[in-house]
Amino acid sequence: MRELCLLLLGLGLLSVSADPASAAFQAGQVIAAPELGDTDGDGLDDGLELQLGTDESLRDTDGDGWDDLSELVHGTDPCDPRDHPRATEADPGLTEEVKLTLRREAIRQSAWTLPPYRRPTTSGGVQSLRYYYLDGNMPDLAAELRMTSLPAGEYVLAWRHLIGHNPLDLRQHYVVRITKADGKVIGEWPTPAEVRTERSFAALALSLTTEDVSQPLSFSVTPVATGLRYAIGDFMVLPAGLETDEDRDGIIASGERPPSGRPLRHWINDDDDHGEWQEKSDRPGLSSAEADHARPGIDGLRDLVDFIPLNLAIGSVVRRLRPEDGFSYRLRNDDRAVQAVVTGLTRATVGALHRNPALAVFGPSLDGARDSAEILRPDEQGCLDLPRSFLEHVAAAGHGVVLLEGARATRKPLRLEICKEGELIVGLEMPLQVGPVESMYRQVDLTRLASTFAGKPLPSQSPPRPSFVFDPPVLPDLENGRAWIVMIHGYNVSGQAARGWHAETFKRLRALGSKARFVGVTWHGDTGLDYHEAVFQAFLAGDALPAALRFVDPGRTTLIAHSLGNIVACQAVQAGFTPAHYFMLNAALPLEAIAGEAATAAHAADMTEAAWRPYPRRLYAADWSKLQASGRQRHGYAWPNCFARIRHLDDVLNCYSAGEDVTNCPPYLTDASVLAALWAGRAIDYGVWKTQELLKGVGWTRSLGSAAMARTQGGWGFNAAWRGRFRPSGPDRMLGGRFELLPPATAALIKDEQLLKDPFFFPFERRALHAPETSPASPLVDAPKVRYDLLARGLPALSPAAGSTPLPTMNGPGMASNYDLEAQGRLSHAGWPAEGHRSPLTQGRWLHSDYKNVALPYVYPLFTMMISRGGLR
Amino acid sequence: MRPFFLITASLSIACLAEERRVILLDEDGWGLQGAMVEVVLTPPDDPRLAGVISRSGLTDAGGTYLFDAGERMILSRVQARLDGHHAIDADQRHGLGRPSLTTTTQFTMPRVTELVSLHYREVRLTRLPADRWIGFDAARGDAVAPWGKGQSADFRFHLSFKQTGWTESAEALARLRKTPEGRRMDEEEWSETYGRFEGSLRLSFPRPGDGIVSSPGFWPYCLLKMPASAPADGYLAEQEIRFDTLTDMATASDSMGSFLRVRTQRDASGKIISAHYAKIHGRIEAGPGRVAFRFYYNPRADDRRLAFAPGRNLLRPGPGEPVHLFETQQP
Repeated sequence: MRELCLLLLGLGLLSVSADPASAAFQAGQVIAAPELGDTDGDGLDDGLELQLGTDESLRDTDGDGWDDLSELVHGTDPCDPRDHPRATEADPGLTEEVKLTLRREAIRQSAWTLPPYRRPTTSGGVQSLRYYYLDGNMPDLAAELRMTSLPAGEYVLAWRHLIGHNPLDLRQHYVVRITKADGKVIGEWPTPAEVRTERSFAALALSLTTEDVSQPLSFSVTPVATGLRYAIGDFMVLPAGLETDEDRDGIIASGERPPSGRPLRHWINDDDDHGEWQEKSDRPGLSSAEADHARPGIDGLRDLVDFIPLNLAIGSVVRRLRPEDGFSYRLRNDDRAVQAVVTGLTRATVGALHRNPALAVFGPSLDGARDSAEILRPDEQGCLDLPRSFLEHVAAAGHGVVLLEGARATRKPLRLEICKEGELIVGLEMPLQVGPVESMYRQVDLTRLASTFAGKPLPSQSPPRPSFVFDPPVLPDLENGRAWIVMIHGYNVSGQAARGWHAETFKRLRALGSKARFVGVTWHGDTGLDYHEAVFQAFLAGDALPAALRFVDPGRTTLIAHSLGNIVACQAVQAGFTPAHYFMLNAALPLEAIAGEAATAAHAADMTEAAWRPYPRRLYAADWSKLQASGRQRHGYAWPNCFARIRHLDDVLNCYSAGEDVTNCPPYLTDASVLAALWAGRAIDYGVWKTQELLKGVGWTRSLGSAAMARTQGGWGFNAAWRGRFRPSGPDRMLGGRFELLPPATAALIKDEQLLKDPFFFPFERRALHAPETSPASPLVDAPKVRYDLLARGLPALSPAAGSTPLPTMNGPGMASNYDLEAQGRLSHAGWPAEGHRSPLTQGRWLHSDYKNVALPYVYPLFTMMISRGGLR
Repeated sequence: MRPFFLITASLSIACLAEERRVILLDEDGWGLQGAMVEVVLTPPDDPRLAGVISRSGLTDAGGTYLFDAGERMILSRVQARLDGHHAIDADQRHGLGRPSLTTTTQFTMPRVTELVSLHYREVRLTRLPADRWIGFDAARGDAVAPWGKGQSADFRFHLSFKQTGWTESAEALARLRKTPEGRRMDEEEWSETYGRFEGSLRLSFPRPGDGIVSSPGFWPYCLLKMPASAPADGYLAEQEIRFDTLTDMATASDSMGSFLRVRTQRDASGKIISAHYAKIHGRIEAGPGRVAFRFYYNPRADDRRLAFAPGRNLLRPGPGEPVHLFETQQP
């Protein structure tokens, strides 16, 4: 309960005269009421009762049932039994019994005095103070507050003024000032303002800090003009403020807003979201005609990530300055940069915005589905009026949440303006900065480093956003923590599409509370149908990444990679980058690359191409490196332990989905040859990763799909040098025929030294690889890119992809573990979009890119886990 | 004529669709009638969703759904729903997705019961000494000091292990030793990372009545994978789990669970008058110096319900403790 130490010295002194004898009005100082006793114990000391004309020996001077103090508080005449307080519906704060505790304070003597107070007459004249009660039945304000125990917070001080007689229509000047005991001015309302012959409102927004409320405060009214007479009264101090979820924890605490001086930061909603699932890249920076902010409503559940909540804590204000009395409320930004949606959210439920797919807080009744939301757009002056129905909700609930959407860049503040008949009464202000989302994080572009195997530069067909590694202008590092997030996209993402991937990931992390500095990495993974080329490029990009990230602190970095971007990430780790956390999202790399061969041996049979299954494993290209002499470099030309360094990281989390469509390795896919014609039409949409592993080394005669892959070598192709019997097509060889494969039993007899020279599999393109390894190393066959080329094209994986399979338990000091996206990354009861998941095989499953494609309210557990585990808050 | 007849007959046989069955049972083994079943069939070696077909229908009185599987099609997914029972969703992780010699596939659909608030924690204990008893506080889900923040031991475990080889070939080890990490690691760390260890984890429940028992059922294709209530009896005071890092890495299955009874109080006649129940979902991972498992504990005495309500974890992380170890969506 707030207590107001009320000096009655200000009572009645509302008619301010410009009489030189009373140039300044400071109620507390003007009426020096010495501390005397309170004979009748009615709360008014005897000296004051002398001034008021009441009987210092009677609690109720006029005997009307209301004690003298209560009558004084209510503004009725304590000496007139016919004039006493009556509670009305319009003033619900009044009750029959008003308890008011007054403290008697020592009063400083002033240089000025006013004539003794004259009690008000019932024939009219100047209305004395009326007290409005804040919640809790305590009076708001007197003409001066000597001390207040108002808690720190945001307030509006409002009052009414009128002029009795103004024949020359002169403007009135007076200053309402709130000062601390040390003289510091906390708030000031310097008129001129129109003081009319009818009561009109004026108001002042003020903010009280903890330090402010620890000292006595004075609210004073000081006239400036002379020769005029006007009245000021009906002071109200009402809690009022604009609040945000500054820490983005899903709850707006009372008074929560950006720290003093810092703006509320948000991005322009200039991408194109729609629905609950979206595969198309939602690249930011679209033109106004295409951008979401130009659309009439909220563009699907995915669009909600582009809105931020703003709580209008103005319930007390709306109850007193009522719309039905002509008051209007509007949001304003002079650059017309924000649009708004009114909602039925509360301080405690704003988190539902990004966590509840079925959120129903929209529409005129504030309980409708998302498609009933109406976007309020600013007029030419940047104002958008808040609907009456919403204001009624605010009055009843005490506050109301609007969702803000960025429409343009701005650095101008956002104001809540309260007007009466078009005239501004008071504005509450919040500094604001809105800008392009890409100006809120950094970008590293590795596409310019892409080159072919021959070393020729590979220009990007779709140029990405250029590298930008400096302090982001719209979200400076100073307002973030010291943690870093580095995000790497996957295969088949063009430079422009990568902008959408990065932006969406950034938005989701930020909306759920991340305070880390975000870096989006773009690499050349858009290689069309040639997936193997993309793998090769991923290795090259990984080599370059540590140097490109030299501006981050690896010890505070969370590395997140999606799909084939995990080869970029793992190679970067192999090259020396050591993040504190590494989250693999639907990783398109074989388990054995991290866990080694033994850990994944159980899967090898399923990953072996059908034609090779009868043959001993030592003949496979995958095991070619074992034929090399121990200690030689080529011994490392294999997938097992390719990224062994990952096991030494402090925290590795494999976020996998057993039901995903791309890295899933269905046991029933065994034969590349059948896949041929399908590949050309890009009809393959399930088990793509396993498909490309089965396609390695397979010539076009067995699979037309291999036509999409350059540099076909090794893999599951057979070496013609080891052909078996010739089977003629006709009765004689004149009609041709074909050579059979060497029978497995016969092939098993081939010696290792023979295999070194003539492998059973289709030879590598670099035939020198089949010659003995020499010293010194030859750049033709021993350069890193040769190894990358073999891994990408010629050495099939014999373990499934980590994107759909958990990592096995591994020894070692590191903490590699698994996160089941389907079981842990979403809520089991929340449902799942049907869109994009219509096949019976994919229905309800977490697909390869769903972490981005599916709307955030469905997948938020994944993001809150990353934020928590990565220490990003 | 005869060859033609034979050919025709052969063709007829070849064109006959294969009839298959899915049988749905409750936990007691009784068939579930009226369950809606959807099966998904995929052609071999066809990586297209367009090649997928599905069938759906209701189970009969015996809980059987009979369907035409087509020719050479492979059963890749089975989903089923029935009011009052947890839905199932089975795929290749549960044996589907490959040619099968049997035409019948059977699943259990446990009854839906109330989900309750429990203590949940992903227990991950590392740097544990060998050949020493270490206490575990079930209520706190942690080892007792100095290995954790537990206060009193409800049961204890004992790790013993020795290195018997390596998880990588000699050539691979030689190559890994030359890497920066390999050069940095001392022998102990090297062995810890690449050593093959065999050993055992012994669990011991000293208090009479306390013990551990394997879950009578585990349904990996269902949201609720273990029975909703702990068994009333059958608890063993001792259990030994042998481990071999090499084989565990390759073949360890998580499709198992255990129930525990702790803090048992008995009357003079030995009858149990009070106890607390817990479950371990999945396998207990053990390795050199390491124990990890997913642990649920019911803090209400004599309450055997252990189907966890996600979001209602009564155990809260302490200051500095990682939050993610206290969150799960798994009942």
